[in-house]
Amino acid sequence: MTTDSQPYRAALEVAVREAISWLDGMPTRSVHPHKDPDEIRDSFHDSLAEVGIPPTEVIERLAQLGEPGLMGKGSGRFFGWVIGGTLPAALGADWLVSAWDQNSRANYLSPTAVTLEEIAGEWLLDLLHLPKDCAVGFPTGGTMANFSGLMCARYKLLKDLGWDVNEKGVNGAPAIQVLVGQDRHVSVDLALRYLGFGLPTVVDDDDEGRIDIAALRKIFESSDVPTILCLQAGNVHSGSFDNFAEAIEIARQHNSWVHVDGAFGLWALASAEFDSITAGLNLADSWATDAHKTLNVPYDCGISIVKDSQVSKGAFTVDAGYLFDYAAPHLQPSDKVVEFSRRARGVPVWAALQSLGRTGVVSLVEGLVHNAQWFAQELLTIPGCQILNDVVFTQVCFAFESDERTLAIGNALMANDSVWISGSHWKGKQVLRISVSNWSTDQEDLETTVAAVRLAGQN
Amino acid sequence: MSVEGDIYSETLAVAAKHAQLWLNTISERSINPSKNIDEILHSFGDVLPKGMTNPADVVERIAHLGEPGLMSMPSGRFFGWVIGGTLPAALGADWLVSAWDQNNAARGVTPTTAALEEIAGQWLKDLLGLPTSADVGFPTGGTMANFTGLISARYKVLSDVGWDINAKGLIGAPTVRVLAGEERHITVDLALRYLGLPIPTAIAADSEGRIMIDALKQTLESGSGPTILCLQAGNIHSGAFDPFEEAIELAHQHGAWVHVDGAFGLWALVSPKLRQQLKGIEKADSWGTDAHKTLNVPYDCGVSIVAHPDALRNSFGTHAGYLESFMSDAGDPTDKVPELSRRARGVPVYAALASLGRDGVTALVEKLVTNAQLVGEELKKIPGCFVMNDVVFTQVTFCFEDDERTKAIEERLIQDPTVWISGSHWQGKNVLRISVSNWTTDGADVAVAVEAVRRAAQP
Repeated sequence: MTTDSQPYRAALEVAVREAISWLDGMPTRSVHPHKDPDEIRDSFHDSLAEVGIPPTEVIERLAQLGEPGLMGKGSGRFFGWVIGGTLPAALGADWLVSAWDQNSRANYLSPTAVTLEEIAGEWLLDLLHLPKDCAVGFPTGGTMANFSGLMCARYKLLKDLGWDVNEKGVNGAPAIQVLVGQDRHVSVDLALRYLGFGLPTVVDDDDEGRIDIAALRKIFESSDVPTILCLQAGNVHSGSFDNFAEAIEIARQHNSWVHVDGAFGLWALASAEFDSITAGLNLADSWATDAHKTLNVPYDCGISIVKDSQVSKGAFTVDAGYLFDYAAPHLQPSDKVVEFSRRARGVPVWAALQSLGRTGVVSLVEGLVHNAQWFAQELLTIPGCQILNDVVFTQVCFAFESDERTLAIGNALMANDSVWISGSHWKGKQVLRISVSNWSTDQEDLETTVAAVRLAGQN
Repeated sequence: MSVEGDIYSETLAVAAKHAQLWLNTISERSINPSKNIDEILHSFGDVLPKGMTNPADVVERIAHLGEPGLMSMPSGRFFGWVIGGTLPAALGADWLVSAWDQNNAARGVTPTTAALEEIAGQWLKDLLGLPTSADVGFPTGGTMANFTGLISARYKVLSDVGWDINAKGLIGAPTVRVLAGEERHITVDLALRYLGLPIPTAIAADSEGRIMIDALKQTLESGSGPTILCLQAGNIHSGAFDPFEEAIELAHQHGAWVHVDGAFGLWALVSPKLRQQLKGIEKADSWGTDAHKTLNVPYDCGVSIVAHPDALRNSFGTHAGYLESFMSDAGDPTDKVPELSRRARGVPVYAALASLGRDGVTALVEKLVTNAQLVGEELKKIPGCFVMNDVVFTQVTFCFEDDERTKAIEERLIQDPTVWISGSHWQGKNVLRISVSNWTTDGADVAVAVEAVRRAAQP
């Protein structure tokens, strides 16, 4: 209680106004920031005032001084990395989550936040055609979703060897082998590092970045060390999917744990159109994905799915005397993710799914892929442009005659603030990459973008 | 882009309306949720709709159906666990963070959010009197802030004995000794578990839960090799602070890394009156705290501070080819926390500090402590009530004549809609605990809390 009976009113009114101005300006604004971090620091000045300023002024300053240094990630013409925008319902829900300010660790703490996450989890399993009794958790994103799945793998494999990792740690534990594809994403390496695994054993891949099945079989046959196999649904450059059916079958013969990094590719499971590339994907032991990418909820929100919920509980649960837990019949949020106190990160997922409905999710994913395929066709009409990947999902990787020319075109594109397209290196080459991940990208955005590449290619 | 007309403004207007309503009536409303998880589940139903729902209706539904299942955590009469409310400027900033939807990973990609986090980090080091050369990161909360300090510790103590943890992992590594007070918080154990480190060796504590120097000395001398010591600023039951000066000196003599879990207690450093209890804490190697507790920003936001940037950045840093050109030697956000993609979680911290100013932060923390001490004094006047701790910070732990009576009073309090006070176990007893953590809590709220205990304690 304070003397001001409505201490939030004015500050939130400013926030609403500035947020809407930012979002409504998105179709016409520059996608690129205009100032670098040092210029932004200068404009905010550095020193902490002795006396504070009113909340409304704080918000106004943030919006006015901050806007020149923002990236237009919510734009339909932002194609960098793999980054989604935000659906209106998800953003509105996210605001409520902050205003409610619930610590969503356990169901007695916040029945509503925990319920909405549970429902969202069930809906996700249904949409992705994964087993109904999986544990679904909402960590911050792909890195921590990979971490969650791999932590469960570590717990289970060591438990099977009679080693209690929760008590004794990994120091001195029996050896575990971790296999990854040559072209896995760096967040898998990060998660493994955090968990105390060293560098993984790398399995060769093919032209599209898919794990090579013969190479995988050979490694399995040459060693009987308990193994975690990390597969990939959605290569960041090609969008390709590992051959899950065969890889998982081999892994099963060797009692391994199979984890799938599906940061954006897992969403292919929502549409029958992608059945041929997702075959066998549902047979893994754990899956990781981002909701802030393909599903278009605001940063940050990942999704971790673990088939055996008892393993999830074993890996994450702690017993603290002071927690005064009312009997909990099913898994609590803290039995499924790597945090104790946490934001109700899954509520915007519920809102996104409720607002899209089943058919809306399917058409969102299919729409992104169709736009990517359109890009591939149109880019081919630009002289010297080669499409390097088979466009099976949302990623289009392209290059020009030489590394120098690709780099020059990349630089020219960086100077064009109507679109954002990232450069990268792939398969020993300088490349450019378009990731279609924003729900609002439309035909006009597509045409503007191709025109931008064409223009850059003329110089 | 195909965002139709006013879709964001309509949806966000509904979110803002309900957020205002929730926050502006919080001082009058019941603290406990009026519906349990099954009732909430029933009202939302669990069928994924087939078609689309208007986003504004989705948000309306969440607010309307969800509110009865919310805990009034932002209320000045919520004294459970250690949970803060939210300052208006921090909430407004949080809304902008979601609307901006920046992936705050690399300085060059998101200049504004990276710059604001850097400024907030500098301000925090300044306010807390911690080394200016330390790196500050914004993980999700206390658990991951402990994780961040401890992963840096793991890297450094092993690197000191010539073991490259990133390449070789922990299996087969020299044994790492981990020591912690017997009254450490559970999140320390969790962070250690995530990292593959064992349950720590417990060091005996005194009646306030502070580590005992003799016991520490004995343990340090009884072993050798890479060692990590976890200390605590703010015992969850007593609010007590470990004897940092002596403990850190001893540990450093043995080459140990000292990490301090200061989830809420680290904030005592902003007050000249309280700071002397933490003398010597600035000599530790890493510190973890929560901003969503004492600083009153919305869930979730932690703060990790590491005095050895090399150890931190080697633990988290990565060089993904496709990001490299946007990264900088100054350290990017992703070098400092366990995520690659993430929300700009530090911006609400910037807003909280800008709105409070230096004096306001000090006044906030001192007011919490003054109110806790007032609670302690008033509780002593209730027949049969024993205040068990020396109220040196925000925590008051109390009990009645025997465990049965304390439990009975706890059960009555849980039914009382005017306050939330948690039960716990401490020093072999059932106890009740009041944590004063909300910025709005005033003398009237304290009086309501004491009156509620008095009522519950009536024979």
